Amino acid sequence: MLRFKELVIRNFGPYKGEQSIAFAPPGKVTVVYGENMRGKTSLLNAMAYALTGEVVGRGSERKALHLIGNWEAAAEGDHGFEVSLRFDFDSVPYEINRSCAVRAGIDDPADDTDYNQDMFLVRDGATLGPEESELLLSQVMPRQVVRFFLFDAELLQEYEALLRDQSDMGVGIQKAIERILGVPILTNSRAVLRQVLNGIQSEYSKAASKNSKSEQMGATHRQCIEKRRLLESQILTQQTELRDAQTRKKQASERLKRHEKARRMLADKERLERERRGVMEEAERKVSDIQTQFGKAWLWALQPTIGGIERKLAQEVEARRREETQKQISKELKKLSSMSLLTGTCALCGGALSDDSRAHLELESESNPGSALEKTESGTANEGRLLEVRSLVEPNLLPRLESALCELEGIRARIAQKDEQIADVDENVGRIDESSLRKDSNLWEEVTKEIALHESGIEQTEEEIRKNEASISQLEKELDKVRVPEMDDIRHRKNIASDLYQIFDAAVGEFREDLRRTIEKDATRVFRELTTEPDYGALRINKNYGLTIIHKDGEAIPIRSAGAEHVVALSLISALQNNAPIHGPVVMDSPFGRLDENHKRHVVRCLPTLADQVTLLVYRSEVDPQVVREELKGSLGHEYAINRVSARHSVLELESGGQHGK
Amino acid sequence: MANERKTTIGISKDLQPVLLAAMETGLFKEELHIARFAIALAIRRGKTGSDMKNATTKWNLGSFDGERKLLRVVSLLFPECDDPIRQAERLLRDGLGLLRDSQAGSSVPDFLRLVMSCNEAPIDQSVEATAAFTDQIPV
Repeated sequence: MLRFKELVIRNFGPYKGEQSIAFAPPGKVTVVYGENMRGKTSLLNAMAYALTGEVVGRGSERKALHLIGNWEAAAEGDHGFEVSLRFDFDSVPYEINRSCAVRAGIDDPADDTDYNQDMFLVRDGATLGPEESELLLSQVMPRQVVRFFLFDAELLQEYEALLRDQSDMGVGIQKAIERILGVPILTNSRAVLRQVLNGIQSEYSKAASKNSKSEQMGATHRQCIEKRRLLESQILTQQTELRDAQTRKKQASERLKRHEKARRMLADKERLERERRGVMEEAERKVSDIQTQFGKAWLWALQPTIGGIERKLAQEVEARRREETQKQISKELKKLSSMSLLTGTCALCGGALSDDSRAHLELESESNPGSALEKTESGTANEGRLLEVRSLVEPNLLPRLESALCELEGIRARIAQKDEQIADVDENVGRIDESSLRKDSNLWEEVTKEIALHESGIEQTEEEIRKNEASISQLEKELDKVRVPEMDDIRHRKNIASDLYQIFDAAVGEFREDLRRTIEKDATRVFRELTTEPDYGALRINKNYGLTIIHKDGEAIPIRSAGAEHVVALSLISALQNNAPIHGPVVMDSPFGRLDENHKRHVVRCLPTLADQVTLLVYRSEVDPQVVREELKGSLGHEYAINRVSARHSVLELESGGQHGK
Repeated sequence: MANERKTTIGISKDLQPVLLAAMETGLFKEELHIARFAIALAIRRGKTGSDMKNATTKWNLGSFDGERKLLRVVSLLFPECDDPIRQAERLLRDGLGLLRDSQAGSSVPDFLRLVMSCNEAPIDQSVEATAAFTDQIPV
């Protein structure tokens, strides 16, 4: 049993400097959140590199180590990278260190030849020798099965291809599935038995050729044996050529996919640029609004002054009005007094004036000869000024201006964010080479035809082998009838070898059948936990490990959604983990692709049952961290985040759980 | 003709960078908006105007203060001054000088804060200060 404890990386991919991740203890799930292009797959690659010394990219192509070191560090003259993985294997502590450093005397490395790779494995404090290290690593995690433990969406897609049809990709993955299940040990043993049988059959031909009674049949038997040897050699060559063609097709497909990806990224860039233009227009409108408002800044600045002038003028105008009213009243009173004195009767009430009243009115009249009633020039001017000043009074819109400036700041932040996103896409999109796209497209078509030819050739050879085998069998029956004592011993050995081979061959077939049934049962169990469709009753496996969904009524579901295929693929992976002779941690990179929210919940809930130690690498919009916490509860170990410093620099930060020393 | 009053406003060369720096903030559509604000700032900071030496004509009155609103304020605040356009030009010099001073140590002045500080002056002080229209206004 393999258990990861800690991964320490330096200048690996986007991880500049030394960074580390501590894996949650057995039974707990480690979750690493990181947006696209931040370095989730690089983390997966670092683990694979520690175990195998290789980084395999899309299409199973080995990645150039020269391109793996951190770009920013390289630009600062710090080339190469290092990976160190601490793990327990069968409860013994190990630490493997691998480094890729620039050769002495090379300042500006151009390719992998400019680097030296170094590795050492420490077991319980003692450093092992190179051969012992390699042997141990092949036991801990054979190179061929690493992808089943450290897998990404591409592997899931390959499973889906396997489930959909018997495509070239399917053939490759079937072999890989049998490899993880340990079947090659049996098939290799069977091949050895076959060689033994072939050898004895050759001896049998020779023995038959020595006797006149069987000489002719012996010669024919020998020819058939020789022909079989040639046919078997031929089919091996054809199979090798087929595998080679399949690999080339897969690589061409991946390159085409990458072109497609680059195109999608360009489309993303166009969308981002369109969005940026929209935000820019919004900014322009806001700036125009702000500039219009700032055009009145002088008036707003002067409002207290204008307010002061306005109040002062208003007071003066009011005082002047009061004075004029007083004068008007005095004038009217004087008129009435004069009239009363003239008539001897009060002009207001009509009563006769008393002597006292007359004397009082005469006195008043003499003391107040009357004032000028005309408006003074200054009084009129102040009223005019007051009107002018009032036209300058403005409502206080400064809070509105302040909020407009805040909004503008927000808009500019959005523009900066778009710029960053566009720069990120630019970093990753590279240049689309149309001629290379055409070349890959042609290559894909050619290699597809080539594969068809190889397959047809293999079928023909297989048919010839079958016919030849039938001839050998027929000849041996005839030879067995020839009673020659010298042939008895070899005949006896041939029959034992033949029986043994047939028994073993049948046993291998039976074992495969058992394995398929077990996988079908396990995959069904996981599928029923994962699926949200209660009418789906089971999965049925075929000889190529393809799985079909079976309705509760027993009918096969002929067409299924992309999401359903995804769930079936995850069920198959889980079943394979359960039945593999090797047990180790499972690291899943972005496995939720096309699943809806409910399926995501189900998958997260099942993670702790998938393996003893599970690490999940996801982006936040792929699965809500809250869902992860709710579904995993106590099974949630550490939560990490991959945070962006720049397009070429990410940092791993522990968000919850565990202790992070680095 | 010699006695005919100038109807243009100018600034001296040394103050042109102040306008340029203010324009770079993107807050103003035109330099004349900055100039008007500079005059208002000078008034609010109690400046009475300094002669603009070697002024180069920058704006005519029509574009600078088409509705004569600013000149009206200047006339009200400085009734003893018989040429409000020249008075505005003098205040402009003071105002741009204040902006230049506020630029010292930072790339550009914070115009919003400047407007707010002018706008938030206690109204009572303004009333007192403007009692005679020519009194200086504390900010």
